Order: sequence, then C-alpha cells, then structure tokens
Amino acid sequence: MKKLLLFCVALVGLAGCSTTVPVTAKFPEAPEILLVECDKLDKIGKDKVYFSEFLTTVVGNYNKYHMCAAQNAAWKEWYHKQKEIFDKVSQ
Amino acid sequence: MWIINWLPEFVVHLIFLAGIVGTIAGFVLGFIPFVSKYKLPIQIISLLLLSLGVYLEGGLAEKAKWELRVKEMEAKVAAAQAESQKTNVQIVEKIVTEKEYIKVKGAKVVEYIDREVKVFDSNCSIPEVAIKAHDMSAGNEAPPEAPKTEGETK
Repeated sequence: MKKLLLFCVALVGLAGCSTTVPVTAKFPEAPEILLVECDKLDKIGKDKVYFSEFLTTVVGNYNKYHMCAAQNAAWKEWYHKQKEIFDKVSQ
Repeated sequence: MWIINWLPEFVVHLIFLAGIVGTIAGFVLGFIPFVSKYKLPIQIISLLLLSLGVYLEGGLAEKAKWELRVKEMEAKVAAAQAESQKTNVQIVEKIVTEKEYIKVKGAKVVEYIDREVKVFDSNCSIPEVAIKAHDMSAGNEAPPEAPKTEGETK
C-alpha cells in the first residue's frame, strides 16, 4: 500500500513536467531589389571635356542619387509595414 | 504535461470514473458485504484514483485550451505571412515603377542637354580643376592639401 501511495505521488509530481512548443512568427526576408547596393557616382575621368558631356555626367549622378533615395524610401516603407504586421501577431 | 500526451484520453476519463465509483462505493455502499470487507483499501485507492483523475482531467482541459491557442496563433501567423507577402509584392512593384520613371526622366534631361546645351560647347570650356573637383566629389575623395604660404612656413 505504501509503495502504491509513493508511486501515485511520483506520478502526479512527474505529470507536471510541461513540454509546450510555442508558435513563433518569423520576421520576413526583404525582397532582393531592396538589397541591391546604390550605384557609385560617375567620374569624368579625363582632363578635357565638352560642357555638355560634363553636364551629362552630372545629370547621370543626380539620377543615381534619385534611384538610391527611392530605394531608401522603399526600405523604410518595407520595414515599417512589415514591423506593423509582425507586431500584430505577437500582440 | 507529458503524461497527457502519453496516456490515451479515455484512460484519463476511466481513472476519473473509477475514482468516483470507488469513492461512492467506499463511503456510501458500506452495507454491501464485499465492500464492507475491503472498505479501507477501497476508500484509500479510490481517493487516490479520484485525486489523480481530477488532476489529469485538469491537465486535459489545459491541453485542449493550449491546443486552441496554438491553432489560433498558427492562423494568425499564416495570415500575417500572407499579408507580408502581399506587402512585399506591392513595394517591389512600386520601387520598380519609380526607378523606371527616374530613368526616363534622366534620359529626357540628357536629350534636353543634347538639344539645348550642346550649342554652347564651343564657347564654354571647363577648367581642369573643375573636372578634378567633380571627380573628387563623385569618388568621395579629399582634395590635395593647399600649398603653404610664406607666413605659414616660417
């Protein structure tokens, strides 16, 4: 009887060991297009150049800036939207 | 609770039921000859079974609650993944369109330069230092140190 009692107590005690597996949300991967690095700015690279050629290089560099700025803005938008979605799950 | 995962559900209910029946038999049906002969062991064993049964039933209820929460969480995660994917597509489409616009606008400015500015090429020379300054700026390089004046060298 004593042994049975001890067995029952041990069984009840051991039954309390929990093995719950939590469900976790994974933060998403960023799209490839946002991971591309910004282009390096162009140099003239020669001593003599026509004014129009010089200006074309400058305009090209401004263009590269605008591309990079747009990508940076997209990055920010992506992060804020994804964070909002991610936070909604963990609430 | 590992024991809940290991024991079939009906065994838990059986333990609980045996505990109830045994307790009733041990404490109420003492007038039955067989019960009255083993009254004390029946009482002790049935009380133990009842305690274990109540404990395990509680565990089962808790497990069911957890399973429901896990299912809810899984549904939430799946919905979030779908929404996240949709957002990704929207942002990619937006950036691709925007980059295309920037490219087109840049090309139009270059066309404008060819049409309107090229005529000034012959009477507008660019000094070499201006080109150097542009290139240093484009490459994020520092300009060479300015030569020191006489006052500074003394």
